[in-house]
Amino acid sequence: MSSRPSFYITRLENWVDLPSSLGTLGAQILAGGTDLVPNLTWELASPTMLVDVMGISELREITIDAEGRWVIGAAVTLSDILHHPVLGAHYPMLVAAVHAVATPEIRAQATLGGNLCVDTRCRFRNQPPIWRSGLDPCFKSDGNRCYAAPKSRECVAILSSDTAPVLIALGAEVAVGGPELRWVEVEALYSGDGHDHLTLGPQEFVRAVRLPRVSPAGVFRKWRDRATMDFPEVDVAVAATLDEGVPRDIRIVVSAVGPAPVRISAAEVLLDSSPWTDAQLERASVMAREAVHPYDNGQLGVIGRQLAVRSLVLDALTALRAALMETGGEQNDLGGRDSREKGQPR
Amino acid sequence: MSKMHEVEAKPTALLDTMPRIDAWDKVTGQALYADDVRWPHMAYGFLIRSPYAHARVVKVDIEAVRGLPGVLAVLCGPGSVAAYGIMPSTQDEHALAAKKVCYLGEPVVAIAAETLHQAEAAASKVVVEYEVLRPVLHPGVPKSHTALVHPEHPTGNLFKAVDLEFGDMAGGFLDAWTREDRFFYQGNNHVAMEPHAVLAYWRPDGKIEVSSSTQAPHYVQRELARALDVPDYRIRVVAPVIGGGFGGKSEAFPHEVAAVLLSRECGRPVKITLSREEVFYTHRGRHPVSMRVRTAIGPAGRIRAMEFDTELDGGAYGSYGIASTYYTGALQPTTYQIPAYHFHGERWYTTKPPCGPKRGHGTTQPRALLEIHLDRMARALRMDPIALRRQNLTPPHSVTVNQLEITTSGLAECLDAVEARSGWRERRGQLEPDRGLGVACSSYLSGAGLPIYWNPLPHSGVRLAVNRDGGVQVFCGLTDIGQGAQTILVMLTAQALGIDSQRVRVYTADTGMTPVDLGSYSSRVTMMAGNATLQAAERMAALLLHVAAERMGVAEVDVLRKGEDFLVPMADRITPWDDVVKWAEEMQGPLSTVGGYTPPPALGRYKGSGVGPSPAYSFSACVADITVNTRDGRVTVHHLWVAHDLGTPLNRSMVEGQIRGGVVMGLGEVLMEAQAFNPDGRHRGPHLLGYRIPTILDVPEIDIVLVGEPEPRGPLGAKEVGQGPLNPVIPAVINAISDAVGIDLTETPITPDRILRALHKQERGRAQ
Repeated sequence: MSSRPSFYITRLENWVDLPSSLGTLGAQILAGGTDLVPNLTWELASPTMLVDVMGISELREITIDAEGRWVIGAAVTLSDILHHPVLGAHYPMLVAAVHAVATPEIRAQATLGGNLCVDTRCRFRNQPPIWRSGLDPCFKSDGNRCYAAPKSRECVAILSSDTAPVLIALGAEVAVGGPELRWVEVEALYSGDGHDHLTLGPQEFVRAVRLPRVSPAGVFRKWRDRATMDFPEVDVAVAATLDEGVPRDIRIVVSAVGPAPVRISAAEVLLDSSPWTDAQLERASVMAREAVHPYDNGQLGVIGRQLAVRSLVLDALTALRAALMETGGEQNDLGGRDSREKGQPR
Repeated sequence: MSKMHEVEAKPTALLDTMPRIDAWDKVTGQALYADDVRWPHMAYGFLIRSPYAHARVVKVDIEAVRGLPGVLAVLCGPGSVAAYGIMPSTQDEHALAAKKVCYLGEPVVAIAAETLHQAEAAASKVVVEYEVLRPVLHPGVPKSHTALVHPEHPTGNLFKAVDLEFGDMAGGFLDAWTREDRFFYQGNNHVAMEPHAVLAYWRPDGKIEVSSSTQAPHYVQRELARALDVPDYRIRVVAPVIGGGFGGKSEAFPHEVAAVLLSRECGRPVKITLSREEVFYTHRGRHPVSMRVRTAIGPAGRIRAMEFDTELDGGAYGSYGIASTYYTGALQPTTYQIPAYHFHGERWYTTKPPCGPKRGHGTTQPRALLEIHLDRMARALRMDPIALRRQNLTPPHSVTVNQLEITTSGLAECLDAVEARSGWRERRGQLEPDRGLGVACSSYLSGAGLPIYWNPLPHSGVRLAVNRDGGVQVFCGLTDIGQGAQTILVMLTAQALGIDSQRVRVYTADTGMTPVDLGSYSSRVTMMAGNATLQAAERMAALLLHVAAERMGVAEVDVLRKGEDFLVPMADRITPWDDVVKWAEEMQGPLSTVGGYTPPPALGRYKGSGVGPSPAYSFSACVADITVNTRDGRVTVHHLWVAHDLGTPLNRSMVEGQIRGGVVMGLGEVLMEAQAFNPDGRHRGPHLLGYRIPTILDVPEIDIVLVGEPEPRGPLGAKEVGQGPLNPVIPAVINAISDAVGIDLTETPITPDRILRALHKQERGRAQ
C-alpha cells in the first residue's frame, strides 16, 4: 500500500567486483530473481541496490576440477542442470531435487545458488500487503515477535530449498566467495535463524557447489499438496555409500521443517551400527520425527507434517535399502530379504 | 487425451461442431477484458481496505491526501447513499465501511489519482484508526455484545433460519432402520482467471456509464441505482469480454459503487482493478457448511424419510445468502425419491468475506454429504452403492415431495453408463491394495424458476434485426462469461432462420442496448435466452416466409427453404435470402422481431418454494478411480467417468469444455481448495500459492458420456451443463477413498496431511 520500493540495479561481468558491490549497504544479489522479484512485489524485501550476477561467466559454468569433481557455478540455472548431457547420470538424486523445484518456467530462470540461498518463508509473513498491514512486524521483518511460534525468541521461517537437503546428503561443498574464498559443507551455510538464515558474511556470496567425485546412492522425497509447483512441506534426502557391502557415510536429512535442513544424526548412527531391518528403519524414522519440530507456518497442517516426516524417511530409507542391495549390498547388513518383504507399515 | 462417447446416437443441432465465435479473439489476445478498456482522461481508483477482520472505525483522516500529486478524489464511508444488496430482503452493504469493518479487506476509503502509483502513494498517507474487536469466526450465538457482527440485526448473528417439512416424517421414521452422518464442507473461491475490474464514468450530463467484469449487468444496474439513489435508466452497465465468473461476479460489489462515486467526484472515468488478494477478500464464494443428515431406510433399501440440517458460515454480509440457504435443502429430492423430508437451514454472520454463489450454488455441499451418506448406508446394508441408488431414483415426469417438477431424466442411464464404462462390477472389491472406486449422482437446475427480485416479466428478452446487407443482429442482455453463450445464440439463430452462421452477430451484456436478460447464473442462459432467441428468430422466419410468398405470388405453404434460398418448386423459382430480406424491408420497413422467455410457474405454494424450481433438471453421475498413497497421504485420481444428461447437446466441444471444467473444479474442491482463516480472521493464503487449485498434472483422464432424451422445454431439446457435472465428482472421490483405505473422512479439502492423520488414527484404532 505504501509506495513501491526503489533501488538501483548494477550488472557485473566479473566476480572479482562482487565483494565490493555487496559491501554497499542494502545491496543484494539478483540472479534468476524468481524468489526476489515476488518478494519485492509484496514489499518483503527492501534492497537499495541489486547486483545482477547473471553476466558473470564464471558463475554460469559447469566444470570438472583437477581432482575430477564436478563444480557447478552458483548462477547456473536449474534447467541447465537438468539439460546437462552428463551430470545428471552421475547425480540422479540432485536431478530429482532440481526437477521438483517449482515449474519449468521458473527452473529456466532460477539458479542453483539462488535455490540454496532462497529466502525463508512463513505463512505469517509471505503474504500480500493488505494482509500484513494490520500486524506488528515479526522477527523476519525486523520486529520482535513470531506469529508462528509465539514463545520463540527467533524466527522459525521455513527453508524451502529442495536442493539443500540433497546436496547435504551428497556431501557437497560450497565455495563461498568474498574477500577470501572458503569452502564449507552445505550444511554450514545455514544459521538456523529464519531471519538471517545464511552464515554468509556481509561481502560474501555463494560462488559454486562442488559435488563429491563419486555420488553415494541416494533417495529424495518431496512432500507437497499438488503434483507440481508447490514449495515443499517436507523434504527428505537420504544417502549412503557401500563399503565392501556395508552401508557407510549414512546421511539422513529432513528439510522444509524449519530455517535449516536437519541431519538426523541419531538415526545415522543407528543405521551405521546395525543391520537395516524393517524394525531399524522404523526406529530411524521415528527418530527423524522426534528430531524435527515443525511449526504451523507451512501450508499443510503441522501434525500431518510430523507424520509425513516419519513416513517419508521410512519410505526413502526403504527405497535406499533396495537400491543398495541392487548394487551389491550384503543382505545381512541390509536387513535381509525376508524382513524387507514383510511390507511397510502405514 | 480423453474421449467423448455416446451411449446412443442422439439428435443434435445442425451446427453442433461450430467453433466458438470468440475463439480467435481470445487466442490472439484481441479480446478486450474490463481492465483492457481505456478511456480518455481515465483516472485510477484504489481502495484502502481494513487490515482487521473485525473492528470499529474510530477515525478516518483523509485531509493529508488532498492536494497530493495526482490525487483527484478521496472518499470515506459510507459511500453509498443507501444500503444495497442483491436480495431485496437483505440490503446490508455499503460501498465503504463507516462505523465498523466486518471482514479483513473491507473497503474503508477510496482514492482516485492520475496514476495507480499516485493513488497507492496517497493511500499510505491516509490515517484510519481502528478499535480492534475479537473476530467472529464460527456460526453460533455469541457470548458478548461486541461479538455481534451487525448489532442492529434483529436475530443477532443468525442471518436467517429456514425450516421446511414435507410428508409424514413421524411415520417415515417409525420402526425404521436409520443412519446419521455429519460432514463439514469447507468454503472455497471461484478463482476466475480474470480478477474483477470496473471502469465507471459519471458523465457531465448525469448519465452513468459502467463497464464491469460482471455476470449480471441487469442486477448491477439495479443495485447501483439503489446504492446511488439514481433512476435505473440513467445507468448503463456493459460487461466486456469476461475471463470467467463461476458465480463470483453475480452482484454489485463495493469497488463498482466506489468507482462510480469517485468518478462523480473527479469528473473523469475511474478504473478499479482488483488484485488477486482483493478477489479473495471480495469473495462471495462457496459457503462453508456444517451438515447433518439422518435417513430412515425401509426394506430393499428404499428411503422412507430424511432429515437434513445445514449451518452456513455466511461471512460478513447477506449477498445471495437466503437463496444459498434454501439451496442447501432444495435439490436432495430431485435425484432420489424421499417420501418425507425435513430440512432445517441456518446461515450465520461471521467476520469473514461474504459468501454467496459458486458453480453448483448451495447444492454442492449437501450433495457431497448425501452421496457419502448413501455409500455408508450401502456398506451397512451390504448393498452395492449403485444398486442402492437405483432403488431410489426419481422417475422422469414426476413431482418431488417439495413440489419440484421433474420433466425428462436420464439419471438411470447416467448410472448405467458410468457403471459400465468404469468396469464397476468386475473391478470393485477386486482392485489392488489402497485403490478404490467411488460413485455419486447429482442433478441441477436449467435456470432458476424465479428471478432474484419478484416480477412477472420475462427472464430473458431478445430483439432480432435483419439488415439489408443480409446480416442478422441479435440483441440480448446475457453475459458470455466464457461458457460460450454468444455462440449458442448464433447457432440457434442460424438454425431457426436457415442461414449461414457468419451472417449473425450478437450484441450482449449491455443494459443500454439490449433487452433484459437476468444474467449468467443458475445455468439459465441456454434454456432462457436460447428459447427467447428461438422465438424471435421463428417470428422473423415466418415474416420472411410471408413476404417471399406474397412477392412470388404463391401461398406460404408453397415456399420451401433450400439452404439459404427460398424455393417455389411449382414455379421453378429460387430467390436468395438477400433478395427476400430486401423485399421485406421494402414492404415493412426495417425488420425486427422480439422474443421472450418466462419459465413455467412453480408448483410449490409454501414460503421458500421459490428456490429450487426450474424448467428442467440436468442429471449426472460420476465414478472415480483413485489410489491413496498410504506413505505420503496423497490421493492419485486415475480416472473419472462422468455421465451427464443435458437433453440435446447443442455444441459438442463446448459441452465437453463445460463438463471438463466443472469436473476439474470439483477435484480442486475435494482435494485442495480452502477459503480458510487464521484465528485472527486473516485468510490463510489469499494468493495462488496459499490457495491451491489443480494444475494440469493433477488432472486425470476424464471420460465423458452424454445421455438422455431431448427436453421438450429446452431450446432444440437442451438442458444445462455448466454447473451440474461438478457436484458428483466430490463425493465420488470421497467414496473412492473410503473404498480404497477404509477411512471415513469428515471434512474437505482432503489434503495429504488430513489423509495421514486419518490413517494414523485408523492404525491406532486397530492397535487398541
